[in-house]
Amino acid sequence: MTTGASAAVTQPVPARAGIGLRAVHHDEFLATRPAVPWVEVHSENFFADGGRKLEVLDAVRRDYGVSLHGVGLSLGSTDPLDPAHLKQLRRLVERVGPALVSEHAAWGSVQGRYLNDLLPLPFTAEALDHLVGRVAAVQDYLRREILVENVSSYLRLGAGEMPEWVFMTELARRSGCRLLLDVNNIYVNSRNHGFDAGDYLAAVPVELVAEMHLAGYSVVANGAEELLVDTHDAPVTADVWQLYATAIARFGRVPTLLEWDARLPPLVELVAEARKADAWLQVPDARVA
Amino acid sequence: MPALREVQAAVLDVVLRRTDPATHGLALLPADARLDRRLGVYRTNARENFAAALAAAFPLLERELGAARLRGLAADYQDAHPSPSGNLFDIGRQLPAFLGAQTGGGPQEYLGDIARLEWAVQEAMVAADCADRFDPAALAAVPAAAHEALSFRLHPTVRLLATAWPVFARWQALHTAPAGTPLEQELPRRSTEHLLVRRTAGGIELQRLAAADHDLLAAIAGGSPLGDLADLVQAGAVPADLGQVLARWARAGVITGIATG
Repeated sequence: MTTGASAAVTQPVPARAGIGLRAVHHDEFLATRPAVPWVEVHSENFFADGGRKLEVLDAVRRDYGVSLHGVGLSLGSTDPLDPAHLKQLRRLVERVGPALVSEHAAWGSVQGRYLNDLLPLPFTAEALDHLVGRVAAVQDYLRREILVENVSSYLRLGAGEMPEWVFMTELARRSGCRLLLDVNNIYVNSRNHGFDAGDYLAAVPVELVAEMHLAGYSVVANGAEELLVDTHDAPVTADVWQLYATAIARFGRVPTLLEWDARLPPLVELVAEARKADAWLQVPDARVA
Repeated sequence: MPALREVQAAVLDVVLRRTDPATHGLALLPADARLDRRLGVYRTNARENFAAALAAAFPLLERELGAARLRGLAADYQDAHPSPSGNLFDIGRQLPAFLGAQTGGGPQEYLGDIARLEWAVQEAMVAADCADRFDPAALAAVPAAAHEALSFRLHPTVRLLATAWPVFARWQALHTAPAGTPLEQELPRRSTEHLLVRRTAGGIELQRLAAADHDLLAAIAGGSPLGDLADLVQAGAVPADLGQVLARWARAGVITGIATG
């Protein structure tokens, strides 16, 4: 991987809690300038030649750290990487100079048809080889490191050959990326697929984790079982806060993003929710990563 | 286990076309009664994400149809035109033609033109910024012998529409009727309309054009040089006072510059 050739980073993303900045909050955010250290935006929402959204992002980046979080690259697809998508992403990276750029260990398209969703990969050697090559290609194209996030899932595409945490760790080691560890997704998957979330955290090497995500999930009655769905439409639950505390104890202070994408609360409530994560990060014995 | 590509193709079909995983030889887990509902999460996401993005891009169409009918339209449209990229913005591109074909000849044929207008708005919203203003001195500096070959540049956000139905009033109604209420207007009567859409500092601007103005600006947008515009004047297709009309559109910021050679 080649590094360091993109635009100068504007503001850093510190090891504190940021918020996902969504369009419904753009005007209020600029008017009130809330005291959050950094924001994350979805990259694809800014794939534009000009216009209001880019103006907003230009204004935000002057005072806040920015993370560009992609949801549409379909990293794990067996289709060729979309050159138009990559080109737009690189142009945005060069314009914004984000401290972090991230995507998902998932796929959402094949044979030119897109679901615009994050589907899980089978945890097989074949899928791992494929994803390693794709992540490396994206990093080479962007000329920088990307972070790759574990996703929530509701089914498995076959029995698999390794646990999810081995798959993610090997992905990072072999591609040179680091991990965006979504604590909520780990919890959701642990409940949906029956593993110990603590085993997941304990198995991931500390040095590979560069960011964490927190979000709310929904419980859907699925016959006799309760299925957890990663809806990003509610406050973080107590059990996920507890898992987050375990994660901080292991990985130290890591930039943490409070995700909220549906049924968005007023901006002030979103900021308050992020401050809860900040309080965890400020615990005196939290190790600085 | 089948190769990754085969698995992905089958799963996409199971989610998008709602086919049975067993018909693809897929061994999805959990392999019991829970699977169908778990698949339902992905099937619902595929429909809902698509429909929500379409509703956001076509708010007037949603007001015309109502939320439930728009969702039905979105499902039919998605079956015919699955999302072509990882950027949900792109899903609306084929909707005007699709809707036009669906409603053609019926009382709601005008909805195709509504969709064309809203797609033009979408394009204008993300088109390049441009602070250039037309500079008469630049034009004066062009030798007379080169006038025929020079062409004009329009602001990058300008979109021109010739519609078979009068959609301008429907657009205005959207912005005056309270949110969540149906548009209380009679169905429009077929009547050609010419429109200019552009983005200004104040947001999206829509204005009616005379047919001759539309045709002139469309010719400029198509790259026609001044010599060809003069030919259109001779043919009576564009305004006879060409110089004054060009100056008016330059003052309005619609024409932003010239290109020579």
